[in-house]
Amino acid sequence: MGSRDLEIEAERKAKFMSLYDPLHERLVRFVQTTVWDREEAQDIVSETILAAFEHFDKVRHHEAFLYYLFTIAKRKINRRYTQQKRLSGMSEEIIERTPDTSSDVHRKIQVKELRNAITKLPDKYREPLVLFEFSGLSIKEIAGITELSENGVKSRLLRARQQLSELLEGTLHERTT
Amino acid sequence: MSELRDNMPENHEPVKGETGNTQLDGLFNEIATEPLLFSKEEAIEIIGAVAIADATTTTINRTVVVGGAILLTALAGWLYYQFGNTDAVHAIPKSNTVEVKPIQANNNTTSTTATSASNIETIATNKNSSNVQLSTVTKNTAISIEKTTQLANNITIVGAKEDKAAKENSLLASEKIVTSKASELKTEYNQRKSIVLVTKSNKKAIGKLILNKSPKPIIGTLTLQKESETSLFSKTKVIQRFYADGSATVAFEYNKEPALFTINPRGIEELTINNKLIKSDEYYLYEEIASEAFRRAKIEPLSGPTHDAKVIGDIPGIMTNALVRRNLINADEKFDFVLTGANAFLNGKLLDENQHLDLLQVYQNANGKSLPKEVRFNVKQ
Repeated sequence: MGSRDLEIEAERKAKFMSLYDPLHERLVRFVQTTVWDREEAQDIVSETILAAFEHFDKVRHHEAFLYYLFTIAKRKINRRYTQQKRLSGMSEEIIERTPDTSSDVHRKIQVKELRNAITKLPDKYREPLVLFEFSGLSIKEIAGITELSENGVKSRLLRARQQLSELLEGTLHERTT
Repeated sequence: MSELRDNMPENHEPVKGETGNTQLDGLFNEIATEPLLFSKEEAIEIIGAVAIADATTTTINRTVVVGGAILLTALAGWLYYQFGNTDAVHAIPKSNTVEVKPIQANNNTTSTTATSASNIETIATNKNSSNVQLSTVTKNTAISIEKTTQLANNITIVGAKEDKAAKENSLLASEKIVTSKASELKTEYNQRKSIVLVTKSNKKAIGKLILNKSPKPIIGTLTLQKESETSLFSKTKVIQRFYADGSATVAFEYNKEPALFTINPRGIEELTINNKLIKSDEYYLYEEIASEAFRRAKIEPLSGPTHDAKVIGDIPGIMTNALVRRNLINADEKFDFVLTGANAFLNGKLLDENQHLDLLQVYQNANGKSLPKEVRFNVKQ
């Protein structure tokens, strides 16, 4: 690679990082909240970054980079889920190995139950919920990624929260000793 | 969708972290503030590694092309050398002088006898374009010159083919490098994977087992029978919760203090006595209660009840014990056990499907990960 090529590559890299940097946390939170298996989550993030870097020249407007990045991640997650479902027929196979940060054991149990409950949500509800609550994306941004109307996103969000509350009804009111 | 819209309160504007359920909000917040599994530095490293991979590919491409050119030159030289040793060429004595007399130029041009392909070509060209008097060159010389030209043409064709082949090779080489780099990247950045199939798509093997279905949490009060007067168990509320990853949380009252275990087949994930987190090197002090926790949760402690679940146990030992417990071998028997995602062999004999799945489950419990289909696990004693 000549010096000119190296310069071009360095510029390309810098440009990618300038676009990626503000979205890093949002992307990782989206993936790690959707995919509870740490290994899977890390795999998907790294694969998303690689795929996004490979083709990001095609993104004409910088504003579109968010949709581009999250759409790649979403597809990779869906592919992984479809594959797992096809192979095992069970989504329960997803192994939970998320870090425990809470010192309160009961709290940990509740968090674990919440994670389980989120995985049980249908994709159409889980996706907007995770993007909104954990990745901190706006309704408009989620609408862009999910190809729904803003009202559609709000509806699904509402329904996701309702279903989650129902799934966790026993857990949330119970305080074991 | 229409039903959803109908049910939606008017002017519903969702706010992040405000679901209307304070407990749920708190849990959301807990997850939303968890440490990230993937740092920015790792992302930068990935991009950097891709650039290096690209650079390597280009360098290799060029190396292959240059190498091909060198090979071509060597081949051309060798062919010429071969030709130069034929009888036809010997018709022109190397030391002789060939006089070339072009028509247009009346001057006598003296040319040294060919010692290289280019010189011969020059002579041949001159011969074609002018009336040449070859004073010392015999009839055979002309033939030799023609042959040289023809050979040179052949060399050019061969050279072109070689060049094409070299380009193809360079493409293949670049593909291989991209693939290997991608695999390296995935191995490097997925360092947590102890068994990863290094494939281009990095797909996980399909030998994964379905974990035991998690039963509903069992909550109830029971009296634990004291095994001895020194036992510290007391009448307590026992809570068991099972999770999809095969772990369970069991709560006891022990020595009049609440004890809470999170266990899985590998051992203790976490132990809290009276809300105090117990360090893993003190687990051995709680063997009695730990055994009870495993018994209650109906989980087989593969590496012992006080083993730290974060530490991978002795898997060959665990598998040997599993074979002994299943009466497949005797405790001191020599055996050869092979386990793959597709089947299991004990002393060369194929085990039936149920035994195979059962042993795969034991392996998965012991290792914390499933055995990829293409990976062979072997215990020989």
